[in-house]
Amino acid sequence: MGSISQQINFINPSDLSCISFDGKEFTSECKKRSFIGSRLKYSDLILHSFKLPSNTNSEELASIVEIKMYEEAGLDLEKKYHISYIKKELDFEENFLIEAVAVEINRASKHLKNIVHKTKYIDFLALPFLSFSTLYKNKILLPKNDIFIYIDEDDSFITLYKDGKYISSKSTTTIEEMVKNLNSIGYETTSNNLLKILTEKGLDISLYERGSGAVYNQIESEFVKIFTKINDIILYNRSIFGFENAQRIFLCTKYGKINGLDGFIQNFGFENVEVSDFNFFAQKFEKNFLDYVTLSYIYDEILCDNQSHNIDIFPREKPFYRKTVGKYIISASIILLLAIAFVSSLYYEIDRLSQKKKDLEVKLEKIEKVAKKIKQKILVLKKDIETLNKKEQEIDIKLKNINQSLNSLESIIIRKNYSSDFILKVNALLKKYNLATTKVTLSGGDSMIIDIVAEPYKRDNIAKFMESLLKEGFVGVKTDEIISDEQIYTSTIEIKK
Amino acid sequence: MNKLENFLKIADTKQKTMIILSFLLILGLVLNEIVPPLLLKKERLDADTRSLELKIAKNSIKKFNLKLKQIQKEILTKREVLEKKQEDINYIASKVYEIKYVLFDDLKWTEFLNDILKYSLERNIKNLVIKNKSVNKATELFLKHKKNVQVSGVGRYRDILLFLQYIENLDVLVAINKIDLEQSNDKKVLFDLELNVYGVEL
Repeated sequence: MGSISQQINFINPSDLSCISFDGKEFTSECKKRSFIGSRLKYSDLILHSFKLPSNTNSEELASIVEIKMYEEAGLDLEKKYHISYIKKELDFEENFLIEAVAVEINRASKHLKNIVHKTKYIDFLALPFLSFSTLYKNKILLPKNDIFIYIDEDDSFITLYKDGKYISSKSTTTIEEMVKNLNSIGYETTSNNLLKILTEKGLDISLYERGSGAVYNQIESEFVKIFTKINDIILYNRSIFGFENAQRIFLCTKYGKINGLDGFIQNFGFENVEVSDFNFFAQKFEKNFLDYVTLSYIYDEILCDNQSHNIDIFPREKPFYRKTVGKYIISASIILLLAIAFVSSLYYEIDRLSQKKKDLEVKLEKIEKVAKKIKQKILVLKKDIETLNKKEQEIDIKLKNINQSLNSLESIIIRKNYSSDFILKVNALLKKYNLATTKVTLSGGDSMIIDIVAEPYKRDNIAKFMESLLKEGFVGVKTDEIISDEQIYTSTIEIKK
Repeated sequence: MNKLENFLKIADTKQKTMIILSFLLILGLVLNEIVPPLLLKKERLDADTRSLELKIAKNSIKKFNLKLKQIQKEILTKREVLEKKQEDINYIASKVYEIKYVLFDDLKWTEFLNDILKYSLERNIKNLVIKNKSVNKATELFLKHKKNVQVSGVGRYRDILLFLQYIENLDVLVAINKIDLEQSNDKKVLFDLELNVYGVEL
């Protein structure tokens, strides 16, 4: 059940009234989804005590208890029981005393059906006689020899605690039984009426009217029976647990204490005994006092995570995730989900890639179309470039030719009068040196071969003529020979510009 | 569900292990049927998309446009260069054509012959023979060699020189290739000239 940090609800098995406790105070506001506790009626319990060696282990103990309950307590094999036990240490023996508790499930279910119908489950179903331990645990009472007597319409029981430890319990006369007995003496009354009489007049004879003596006597005899039984229980437990005398007696009905009980108890022989009701807590209540005690007890047990005395015959169904099958199904579901997620992610990725591929194909198609156009343009432009290159080449060649032609043209233009000037210059020098020529051959404008004729006395003039030619800037002036005839000298001179 | 819960509660480790293994085996078998084809498909799609992306990157419109612009720019530059060169040519041509005698045609040839004849008469040159031969040599040069002309005759030395000078100064592009002058017996000079006549054709 684990520790708690919220409030616990308690539902009264008779009137289904609900109170809640958060560890600090009791309220009548019960929140949904809180822990739900209730108690069994003492009349639903089958108790059987027996001794066992102290070395009996807990596994054996459970089996022994079950066997003993069927064999010795006379449990019906046809019926279903919830069997638990309370282990009590004995002061004078090495054995311990086992108080086994059997709850017939069908019988308890009948009493608790209204709660179960309402809440579907009861988290903690308490044994009522163990509830008083909370008073010691929470230091509301100091540990002493205490007797708790609870008297209700259909459920009454006596519980003994020694030094804060539960030692014994017994059923006792219920209000309904008292009513029945009163009816048998001719006093017609009801449970509520009797409870009212008990709380208002109780065991104080002075409060009864004249003529009501029989009623008082009957009530007194009922309480005499109760306290006689208590005496018997004390005697029994004295030998087993050393319960010598009762130091405190707590007696309570659902409406509180019984008037005149103190005096009655004193007169009965319980001297120096404190007498009180169940209104133990700082918060004061008007009725259902046992409910508050039981709720406090359940709170303690849940807080300590002690389930050993929880009669869990109506357990809260475990959440699905805490069930074994739930764990398997959840684990399998997680694995399946992961697998599905993985496969889904693949499908998603494939879908995404397919879409991407389509988009890319469309994009590529568009790009290719545009690219094709651009490529065509580029092709056309490249052809243009080729044409331009060709044209440029042609122009370059043309320019080259123009340059060449210009050079040629320049040389032609420059060489105007070139040949005539050449001949005239040579002719002027021939005249200067009185030389005659018989033949002039001019080749290419730069080279001249001239046949000279000189009279003998002008023989030197040939040389002078050649010298003058050189002086005039002609570079290649040469003659192979000067031939002397008897009358004249002849020579062929080559002149170069 | 409660039955299953109760079964699992009492089931031993082997049974539980069997249940888990069976589940995992079935799941594994199912996944083995489903997953590998999906992985293969995904791998193919991955490869396809990568290939497409590569193609798109290669066929980048920007790249093509850039190339297109580069080419357009290149064309523009080339055109400008060509225009400049053409302008240069035109300028040269205009300058060349400013020189009147660079042109040569039949009219000019006729005038040239006429001028020679006229001047030979003035210079009393006898036995004048003018032979010419058109030159049709294919050339890219704009200065064309139009004719080979051979002029021969007899005259006085001085007249021949003046005649030669006259020919050289005519408004025709003439280059004297060869001159042969030889004295004859009658104190006259025989001459033989070889001329090249040029003309400009742009």
